[in-house]
Amino acid sequence: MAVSSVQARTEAFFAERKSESNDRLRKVLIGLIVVSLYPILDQWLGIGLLGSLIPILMYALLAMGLNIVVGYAGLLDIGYVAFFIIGAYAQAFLTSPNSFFIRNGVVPGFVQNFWVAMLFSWVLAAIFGVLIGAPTLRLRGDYLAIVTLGFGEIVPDFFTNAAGITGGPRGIGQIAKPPAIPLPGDRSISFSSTDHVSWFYLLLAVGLLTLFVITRLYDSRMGRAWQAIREDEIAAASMGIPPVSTKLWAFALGASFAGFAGSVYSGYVQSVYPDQFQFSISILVLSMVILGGIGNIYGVLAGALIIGSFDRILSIKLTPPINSLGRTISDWPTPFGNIGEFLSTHELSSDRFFIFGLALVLVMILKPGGLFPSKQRAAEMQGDDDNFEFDDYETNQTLRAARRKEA
Amino acid sequence: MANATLTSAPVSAPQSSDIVLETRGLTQIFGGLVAVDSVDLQIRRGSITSVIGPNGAGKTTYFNMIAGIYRPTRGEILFNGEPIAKGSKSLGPHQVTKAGIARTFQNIRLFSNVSAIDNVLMGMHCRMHSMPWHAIVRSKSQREEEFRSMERAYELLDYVGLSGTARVAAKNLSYGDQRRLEIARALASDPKLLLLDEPAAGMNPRETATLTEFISTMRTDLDVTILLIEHDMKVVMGISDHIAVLDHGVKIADGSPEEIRENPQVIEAYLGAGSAEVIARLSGESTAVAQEVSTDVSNG
Repeated sequence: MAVSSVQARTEAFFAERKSESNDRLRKVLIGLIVVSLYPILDQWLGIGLLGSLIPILMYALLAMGLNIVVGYAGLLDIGYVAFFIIGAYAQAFLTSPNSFFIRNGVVPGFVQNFWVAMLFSWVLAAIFGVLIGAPTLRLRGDYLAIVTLGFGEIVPDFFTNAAGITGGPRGIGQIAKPPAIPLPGDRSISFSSTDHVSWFYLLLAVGLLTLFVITRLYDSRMGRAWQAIREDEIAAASMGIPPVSTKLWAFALGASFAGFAGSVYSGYVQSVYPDQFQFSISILVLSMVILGGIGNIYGVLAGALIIGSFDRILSIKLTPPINSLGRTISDWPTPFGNIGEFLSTHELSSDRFFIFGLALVLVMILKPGGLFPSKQRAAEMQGDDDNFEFDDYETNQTLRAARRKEA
Repeated sequence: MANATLTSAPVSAPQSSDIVLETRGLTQIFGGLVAVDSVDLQIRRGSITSVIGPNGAGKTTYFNMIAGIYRPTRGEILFNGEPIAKGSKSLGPHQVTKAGIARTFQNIRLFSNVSAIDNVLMGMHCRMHSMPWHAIVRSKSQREEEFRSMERAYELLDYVGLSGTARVAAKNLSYGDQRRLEIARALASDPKLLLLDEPAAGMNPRETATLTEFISTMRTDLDVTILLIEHDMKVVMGISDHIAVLDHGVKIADGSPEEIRENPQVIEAYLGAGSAEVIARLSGESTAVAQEVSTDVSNG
């Protein structure tokens, strides 16, 4: 068998991977240009959706982070919102003049700057990821899911009840926004809550940074260790991959990106209180990851875009047409009672979880790897139907021969 | 099978002793069941040692203790003279691998949705050093390490005879290829001691013969000591320098293949009480028949 040298094949492998990643980079750049032109288009055509895009971008940040935990390392975390809260409150503690820590003079002045505080929140969330992860990551599967669910409930409760520090249910206000960036001339880029354009670009930049860091990590020793743990923890450990620390890295990095998203959120809304952080956020973000294509970061971004835009745009925009449809058909008799009357006052946004649930069920049945499955998941979902083997060697040989003939 | 040469990694630790692995009074108790009962065994460096015994004899449990999956209830394991398992101070599986013991599994446990080459790279994890931040900035050392590891992975695939299937997902490989890939993945961690748990299980006679030859070659090529569990007596008798026999968790015999073949206790463990006499009587008439009977029955 003529096989080229090991070095040649290795070089070929890296060359191919490089061209693949260049290809991807090109697509990302095109996507980026389209997306970054959107604010101009929005203003020009007067669409007025920019404000709704900002929460969608935040969802995308969260989904990318959760994808590390659930998609790469295979750890089902259904309390991901905990780290989002920690990031948001960290930003509040570090920058709001009402914060317990600033009032007591614990926070040095330079940390009170939005950007510096953001870095601190990022690290703090990662630290909490380790603190929460260390005792829980020894659990597997369902047990881990239950415990993360618990933490997802405990953390907001903590912020509600530790009123002396956190301001209780009323939370903390006057959180710092990014300082205005002066431009040549008299103008400057400011970040008040109505400056959608600057927030949009800020989030885009943060999102790109996240995407960059995560793709690099996935394509490395760490990324392979995550995949190995996800495939078979015992085999991975026997091959020299330390299970606990590998999972802790995934948990901490996932948490850190949630913290990142939390700190930006905090600066955007400028006041945080526990009721903003419902359990439903964990589920919503998890649905984005699953619907988009668990383990494939671009799929996950698509999932965030689809679910996020339904949640923030479609459910609101579609309600008036449905109401008016209801009014036009209000005198049509149906066996189910008066549908028209029901539709004419119906708010579509109250159906969001019904619709997400339905979408998830359909995706799981029709495309179990998600809309854009990762290579690995696709292989998994392709199932063993085609490669089914018996325990008996002879039968398998016959089976394989038959398959070869077919192919 | 070995259609490429592979050099072993340079030996780092000074070879102080001739014994690479030693178990002293190794015992594993599950609830009330004594799965492995004070097994003493010494494995010479560079040897091929087999652990045999009827089903349920405690072979795999013994293996799992060495590999760090189970913590021994009593006794200790010394690897290169250093204790790797003793009560609560036992190393975990990943630490055992890092110390230089790699393994394969009785029922193949590859990372099945991952390509063959990535499987091997995952086995190399504990010999690589780059940290996440190196990967983010893609530092020079990280890139070089990735390149070197990839080269080594291709070498290993060539060595086990899987040159053409580097990009195929492990689960799409044929059964025999999966077994070989598992060996390549174990070799990726540069082991000094390789544990093979029933490497010939489910293979046809031809595949088994190739595998047997391959294991012998591997020992000399890679300067690795091999400890294997096997039911196929052709394999065991053909390649072992030393055989240990377990029955009901107790080591009942320990010696060269010839000694084991003639050991009455071993024959009784496999064939039942009194069978040793029958075999002895038969062997008076025809040694060949007796051996065939004993190997055939123990295969089943």
